[in-house]
Amino acid sequence: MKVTGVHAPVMMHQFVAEQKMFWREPTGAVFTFAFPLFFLTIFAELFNRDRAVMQKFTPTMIAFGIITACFTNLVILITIRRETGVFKRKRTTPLSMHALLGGLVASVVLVAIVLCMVLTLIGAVFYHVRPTHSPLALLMALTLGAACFCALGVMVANVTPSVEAAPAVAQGVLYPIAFISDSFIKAPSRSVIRRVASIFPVRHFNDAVIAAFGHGQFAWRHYAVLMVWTVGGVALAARKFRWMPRLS
Amino acid sequence: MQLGSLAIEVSGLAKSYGSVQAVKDVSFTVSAGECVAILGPNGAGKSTTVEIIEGFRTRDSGEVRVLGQDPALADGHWRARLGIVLQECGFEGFLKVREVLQLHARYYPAPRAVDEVLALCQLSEKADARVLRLSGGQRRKLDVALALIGDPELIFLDEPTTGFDPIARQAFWSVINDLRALGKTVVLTTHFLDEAEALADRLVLIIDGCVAATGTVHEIRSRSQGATVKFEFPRGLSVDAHNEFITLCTSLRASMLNPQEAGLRTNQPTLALAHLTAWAAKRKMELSNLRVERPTLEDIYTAMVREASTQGSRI
Repeated sequence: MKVTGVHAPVMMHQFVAEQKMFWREPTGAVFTFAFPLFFLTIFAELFNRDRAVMQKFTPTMIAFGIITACFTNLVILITIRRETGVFKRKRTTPLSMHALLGGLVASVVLVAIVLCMVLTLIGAVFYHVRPTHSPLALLMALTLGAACFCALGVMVANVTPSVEAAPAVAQGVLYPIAFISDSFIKAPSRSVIRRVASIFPVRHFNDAVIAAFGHGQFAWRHYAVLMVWTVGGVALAARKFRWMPRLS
Repeated sequence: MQLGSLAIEVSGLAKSYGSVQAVKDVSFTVSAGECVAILGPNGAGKSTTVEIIEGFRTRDSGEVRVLGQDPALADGHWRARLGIVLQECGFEGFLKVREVLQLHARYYPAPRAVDEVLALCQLSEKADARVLRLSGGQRRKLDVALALIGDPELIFLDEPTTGFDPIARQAFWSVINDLRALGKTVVLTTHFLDEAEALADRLVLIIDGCVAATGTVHEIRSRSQGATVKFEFPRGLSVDAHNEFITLCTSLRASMLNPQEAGLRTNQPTLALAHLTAWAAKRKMELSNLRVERPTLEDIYTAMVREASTQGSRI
């Protein structure tokens, strides 16, 4: 089909437009960066800038940054676009769901990459954290994590009822899971909390990034869990996608 | 598309929301190159009908063909041939007017030039303003501009001039007439009957989920033969003269307006006028402000909606 054959360029234009909007919209950009940077610097002071601790906490915040940049942003942005009728208008055009979501996902992924680099730089400069010299495992862990939390972001956005609810839904899903998943505080090993957390993708992502960040280690078991959540997320995200606002 | 072929065919369309039957039985056609206005009170099923035709909603039963396709099964190819102005649809507010138009132009295989559409919709001056900063009327113009950017052959306008000042409305009407001159098909829903009269070749009146009337403005107007003859009683009109007027009305089988107003309603305005002027001449009276009024489209529309709603309440 000719019209759908022009996917890639249309997705590119969609991506550029999303980027413009993201950086022009102050609150979204500020909050995406503020939380991970805030946690990184506050915890660094609480840990007396201990290098050994920061060597693990910096990659944890990189993982957390990817989750907020991808998951939280997608839940909020997709819900706003849908409920204010932007998607409905797109529905009057030949734009496909794939190009629309592809541009949006690419945009939040670029934001996540910038955030990762900022966090790594701060860790290296202020806390003398040393990232691995063999970045392949790190790239793999970050890519799988970004894919997973983008898919879950689109999925959760599909069931978020309103613009007002979107931030609460995004944070309400993320923070409890992040807290039990060693994002901020390490749960005792073999505790119930740890076992519950191992169901969800956040702890696996954290562990995969920590292993890759310091030593360039591949963590296949964690990758497998992330991939299972990605496949489930993508399947539900595509099936439940809505163009129309709820009250229409 | 050939002139005279059908752009839209709707027959026996029905749609319910739960127990509410929004559309009961709607059938009509729109020929290519025609401008058709769909009229009806709020909640009559007008919007549901249009949204089914546009491919936004599914139907319960009936046949719908738009540009030869069933909108329920439509693809990007089909959407590229349509331009739709929706009511209250969001924008990407942090983009500039020109950027939104450029982005949308990319969606279509053969779009119109962005500057041309900006000028057409009187948005050239606002091209570099962020959409957020636009007034209500300017946003409406952008709605229209976005519907036209893909150079569609069939254009839907859902209450397009709501929020326009009179000058902007006139300008918009000329935009629509230009599109028609290019052979585009236009489907318009509106609450303004003067707009329907100015733009549409044909009207489709939907009341209570059914098509209550369809035809040209002239045809619908000529459904009502009646006219109203109005004037002002001279000062100090004698009781005698007034009684004569009442007799005259009775003999003409004309109904009087309310007692305060001088005038009568008749199906034979010429005859009524002859008798009335003869009566005035005999009494040496000058009837000031004498005039014959034909019902406006608005009068006929209001009467039809009222009639339908009283019938509805009897059931």
